[in-house]
Amino acid sequence: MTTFSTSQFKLGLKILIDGDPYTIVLNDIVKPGKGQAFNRIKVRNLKNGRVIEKTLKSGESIEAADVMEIELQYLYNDSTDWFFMDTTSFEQLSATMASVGDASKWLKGQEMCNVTIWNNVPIAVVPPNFALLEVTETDPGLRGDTASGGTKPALLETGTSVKVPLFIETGDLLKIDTRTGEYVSRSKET
Amino acid sequence: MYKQSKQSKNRYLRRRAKLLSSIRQYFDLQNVLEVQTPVLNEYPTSEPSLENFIIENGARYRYLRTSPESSLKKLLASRIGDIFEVGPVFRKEEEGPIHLNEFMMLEWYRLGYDHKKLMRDVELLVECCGGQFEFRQVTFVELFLEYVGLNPHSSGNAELSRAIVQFGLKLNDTEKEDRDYLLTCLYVLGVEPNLKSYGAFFLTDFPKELRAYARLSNDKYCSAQRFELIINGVEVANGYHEVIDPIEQQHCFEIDNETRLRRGLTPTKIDEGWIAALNKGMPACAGVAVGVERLQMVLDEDVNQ
Repeated sequence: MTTFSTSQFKLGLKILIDGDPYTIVLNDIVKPGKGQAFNRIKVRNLKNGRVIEKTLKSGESIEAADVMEIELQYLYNDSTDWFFMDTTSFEQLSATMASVGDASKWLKGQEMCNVTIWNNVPIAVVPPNFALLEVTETDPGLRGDTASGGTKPALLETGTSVKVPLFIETGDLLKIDTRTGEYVSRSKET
Repeated sequence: MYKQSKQSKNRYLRRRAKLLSSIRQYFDLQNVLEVQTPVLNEYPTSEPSLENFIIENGARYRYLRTSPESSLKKLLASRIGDIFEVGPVFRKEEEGPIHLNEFMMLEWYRLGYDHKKLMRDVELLVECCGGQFEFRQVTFVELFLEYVGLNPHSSGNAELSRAIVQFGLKLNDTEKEDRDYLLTCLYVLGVEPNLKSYGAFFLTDFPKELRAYARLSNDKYCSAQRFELIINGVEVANGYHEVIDPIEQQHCFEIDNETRLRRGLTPTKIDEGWIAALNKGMPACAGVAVGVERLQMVLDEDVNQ
């Protein structure tokens, strides 16, 4: 079991708190007047992204989390498990729906994803910043209406619904920003 | 200091020069003598929460000062009058956004002052350096009752420990009996995170366990005649109505060493020169130390707002 003392704390260090893996996003020393020192840290839960604050006695040790981030290619899912592949070793790893989370909205296959692995199990999946997805269903387009600024819902091939401009038609290929879930542009690539 | 990265280094140094010049101007007007005392000392600090950098000199050790207090008190006992010193101090294991291993400390002593009169002196100095704050006074017990729900003077160790555990910190059996530590824990966990919104205020009436070398009052809690100036959550100054009785000071040193033993630290040899100075007849006085980088930081923030 590896542990880190508070004096080894730095941003990005992966530690275990109450059995969950966290990454340190802020590390502060608090040392009142004539008192002992404490470390006040902000840590992000690597499973759900939530940030919490924690105060530790300086000199205290905390268990390291065996976490790494790697690039894996998304292959397919069988609706309970999502399968990813290391493109150099061809080793496959499966992730649960819970750990894939919102990334599932944008994945159709073959995307290279940033996957967080904890004790050899994927716990978080970050898709590429932009996804190219086809519209499978939307109300008929208003041809030429590129200026009115109105939007309508469109269903994408992954089953996700996004707001799109009125001129978009079924069959169009769209570029979506996966970080915001917003429509960026119509793509000419096929 | 994190402010430094936002400004150019040169601009930062110019502001520092201006600040030092204002400090000297203030004390010149007040007839307080500027002195310089050794940075390399024969004795380490006895304070359990501070650690000296140790310098090897042949077979002997010398210690980089954590504050000029001991040297200045020896001068006071030689009847030099009101004095101030501004210079570097060194503290091992202190490094963070508002902590530096090496920083500038301004420390001064006023004969015949008590801690209350000294707080006014601190206000005047900060104003002379361009600070425009509404200074308030808040007692330790007020903050504890508000944010921890306990009285720091009268609540028992068991009660304090329970509250700490509720904040999520684990305590061992020794720590549960270390009252000074328990109070510090609760201050850090419960009180300190709320102080950013308080503006500029003097924290007063410290529990006697946190007296350091301050006199104790005659009130029902024997609270310590100590204050801290906190500006926008940053502790800028720490002042005392000083202990001048050699027996009382000796007692404080002995308590420091007991605390060190309890916390697994090496006890320090007691600075005999300090006790001798008090025996010679130390004038009644109050003294305060200011972190110059922190003062500059809160003054810059004040200007930038």
